Amino acid sequence: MTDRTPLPPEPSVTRAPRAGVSAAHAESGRAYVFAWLALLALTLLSFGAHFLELGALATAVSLAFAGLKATVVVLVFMHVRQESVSVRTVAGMNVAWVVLLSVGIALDVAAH
Amino acid sequence: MARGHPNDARLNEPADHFATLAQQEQASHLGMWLFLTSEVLLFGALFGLYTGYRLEYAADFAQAVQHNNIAIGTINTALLVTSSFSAAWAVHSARLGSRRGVVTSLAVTLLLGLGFLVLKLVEYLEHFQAGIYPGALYHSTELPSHGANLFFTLYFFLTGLHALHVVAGLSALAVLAVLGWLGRHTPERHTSLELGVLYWHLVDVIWIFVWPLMYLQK
Repeated sequence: MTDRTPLPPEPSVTRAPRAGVSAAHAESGRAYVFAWLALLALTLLSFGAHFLELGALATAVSLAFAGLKATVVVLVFMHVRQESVSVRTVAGMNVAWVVLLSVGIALDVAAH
Repeated sequence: MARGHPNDARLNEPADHFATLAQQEQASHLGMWLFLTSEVLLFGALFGLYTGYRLEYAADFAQAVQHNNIAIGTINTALLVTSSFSAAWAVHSARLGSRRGVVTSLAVTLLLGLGFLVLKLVEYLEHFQAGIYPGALYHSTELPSHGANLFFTLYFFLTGLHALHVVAGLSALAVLAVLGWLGRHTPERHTSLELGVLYWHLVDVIWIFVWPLMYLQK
């Protein structure tokens, strides 16, 4: 006969406090202002870089500025830093798919 | 008392299939991010097309880009990143319980978004006057190459689809502004505002990549 030990009691479902649900997502007002100023500064720098003779690097430089700006928006304005692991995974996959698609097409066109 | 009224106690209760309000909010955010992913894939396909045609028609693309109005493109970039800031400030104001802050921030966002659309329309009209239309309608004598035709077809498709997203975002934000005016975005519950603003940020992020590809190339 197997020794049957009683199962522990089911944990009771607890209700979250009614207030402060979104507090976990809080970002300070100062962070938003800094992010905005950074976005404007990066836009100006990208605009200025357009007039430099960068040759083949021009596209990479303009896309690097775009990547930096998108990172600021996603991390600060879209609160990805405060989101759950599942949301951060989905956000990361967005970048992976677009890079994979563009690089794959570029390699294919270059090979033909 | 009507469901959704700020004094309605049920507003602070989770739906039946969620154990806690925090769990419900997390699920809402994940759902919104999955929706945003589908949008990224939609635009990603167009960016992929751009990559392919740009490599194949490099000289034609470089020539065609010069025809786009870089001043309008840059001002529109500044307008959209500023609108992202004001939209984020609306969420910040909701957390602080400032109804006026929510409504004012969203009103500023709406004005900036409308400004973006007006400038886009001005740019489209400039193109139409030069015979630059999408696809088979294209009859530019200044840029007669097939590559230029492809560039502007992509330009109209990419920026047109983006403009539709701006219109959708502005419509959602207008509804959220009215709800804000009615005091529906409380410090405890403002998930709808957060989700609407997330969509607006995505519209901004897409433009952040459209701008260099359509205006800053040589």
